[in-house]
Amino acid sequence: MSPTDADLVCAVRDGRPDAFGELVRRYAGRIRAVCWGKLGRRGPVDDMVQETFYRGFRSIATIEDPGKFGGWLYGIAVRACLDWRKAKERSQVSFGSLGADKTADDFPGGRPLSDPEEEDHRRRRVLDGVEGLPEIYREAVILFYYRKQSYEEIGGFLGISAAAVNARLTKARALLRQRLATTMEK
Amino acid sequence: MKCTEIEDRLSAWIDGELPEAERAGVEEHLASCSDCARTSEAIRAEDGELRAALAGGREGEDALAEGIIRDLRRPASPPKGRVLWFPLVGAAAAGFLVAFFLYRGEDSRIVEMERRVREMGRETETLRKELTEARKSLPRRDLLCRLQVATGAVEVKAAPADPWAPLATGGGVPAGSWVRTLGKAKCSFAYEDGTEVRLNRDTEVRLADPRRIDLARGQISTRVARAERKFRVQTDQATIEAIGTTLDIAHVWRSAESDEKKAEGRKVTTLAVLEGAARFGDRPVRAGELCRMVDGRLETPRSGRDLLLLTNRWVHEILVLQKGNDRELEKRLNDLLVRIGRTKMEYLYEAEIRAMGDRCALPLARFIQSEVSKKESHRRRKAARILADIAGKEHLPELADLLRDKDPIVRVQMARGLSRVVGNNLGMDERYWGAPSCDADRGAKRWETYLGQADLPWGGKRR
Repeated sequence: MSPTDADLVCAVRDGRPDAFGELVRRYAGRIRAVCWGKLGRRGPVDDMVQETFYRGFRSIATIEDPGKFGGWLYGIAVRACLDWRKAKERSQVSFGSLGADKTADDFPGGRPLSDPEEEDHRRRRVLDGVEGLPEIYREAVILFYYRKQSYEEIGGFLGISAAAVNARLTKARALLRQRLATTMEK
Repeated sequence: MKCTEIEDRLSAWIDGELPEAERAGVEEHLASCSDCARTSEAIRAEDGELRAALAGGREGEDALAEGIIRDLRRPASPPKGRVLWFPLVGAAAAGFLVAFFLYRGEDSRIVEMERRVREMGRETETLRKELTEARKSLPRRDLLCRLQVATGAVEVKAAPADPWAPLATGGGVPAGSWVRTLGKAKCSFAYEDGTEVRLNRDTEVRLADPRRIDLARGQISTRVARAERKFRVQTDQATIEAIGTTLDIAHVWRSAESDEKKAEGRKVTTLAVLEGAARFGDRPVRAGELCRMVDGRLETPRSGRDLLLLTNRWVHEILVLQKGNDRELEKRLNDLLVRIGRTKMEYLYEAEIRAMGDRCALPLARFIQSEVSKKESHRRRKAARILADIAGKEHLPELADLLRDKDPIVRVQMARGLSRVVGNNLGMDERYWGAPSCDADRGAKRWETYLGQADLPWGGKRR
């Protein structure tokens, strides 16, 4: 029987860092879906996935309930994406011209998840429609389709009920149908 | 089932998530309702498009995961801004690997066992017992200082030839040890006599004794306690001495600007004196002055509070993390506030205050409340605007009290801050608070009554 998330977290705390590797493999996809939802596919999605795991590893001693590692890591991913957005807004302040310890590398960036110029028209239309949804609906759609997770799994990860996941997906689909119908008319 | 009931269930039915008991009802309705059947078909078609569009995003996922694991394991120079696997083992475990740095690595048996533990990334019970026994046989060295705060990985070693080991927050450092920050980490060491030594990113120093630091590379900021013996910072080209001062010293190699001289580089040691006085070689440097030595040649000191504040701003991240450091944080905040209104670059100082977050909220509120600030309306209003943006639940009573301020702009900002935190403006918008005839006391009392309700999320906060 494979170890639970709680087993792996406790193993890391006990001085077996290899256990964190298994957690990375388990959650990389979901965290990628979350970062995609927060930043859009043009954003530095994989960089924020890396940042999430680095922050998670650095602060794993602080997790209160090892069994809720997924939800805890989700919170870290949300904050990492928010920090990136704030740093992006602040990047217009030219501290780099004044301080010795700032370089262009200090401002986060990264490869986009996907290049819209390379997508076929149909895929681009759908992805633009998804990325145009309000954040909570976008997140539910991406986790459901990208990760093929059940309502219960998505709910456990986001900290909401399966019924709430259903409600978000229902609303998201209704909004998407309207948007995609509108773009078709254009 | 009615159509409205079907609408809430269609998604779950198509996704195979609908409970067994409800499926028959949905299917029966769809068989007889053409509108709902059409909606169901539209959802299925959309479902197909979404699957096709989103599933492809999983490309590269496995490689991403393996790449992250590889980076975390790498024992050599970490990726920029990242932390090492092995130092974090010490921090995460907060036990076994933390304490061994206290002992000199003179016993080769100890060094070898510790190397095996790091490489394996785990220890066995037998190895743990052997190491514990071995440590007991070595003399314990006196501690010079403790690592008080760190924003990332910090390492220590007892002697130049020793391997680096992780240093956890709270860990003691014996005299003569080397310490360094990795990646973007910053940290602060507290000495027994009240001296504080802060290290910026990519900095390596030897904490030689209570009154001497050897700065190999990077940037440090020291708040030196007064004592008979001068405090000395030594680089490979300069000696800096101080008594009871706050200094910022950077020692770096800078690439020359032209391509021809790239291979040479220049050795630059920069001293900024924020408080007190210091000597840079033979030259005295006073508070408010910045002096550089380039390849052994000392330049004329320059003065400028702007320059010093910006050179030393890296310390703010540490100040915000340090508990019980309100006085220094408040002083730093006041220094930054003073620059607002006196310099064209005030947006930089405002950004710096905001970056320090909600720990600045109380000092900002005190500044706005002070008599001195009433003569500086521009700065006062700026402080009010920042306070409104950064205040948290615990600052609501201060904001409510400032609703009584005579300046309508301050009142408007305080109301904005309250509304932002609470999610409600109690029916008193910007026009109310900005009006010259505003009954500010009445409005403030309404807010204080509202905030005093114990069952609300901000917990019945009262001043």
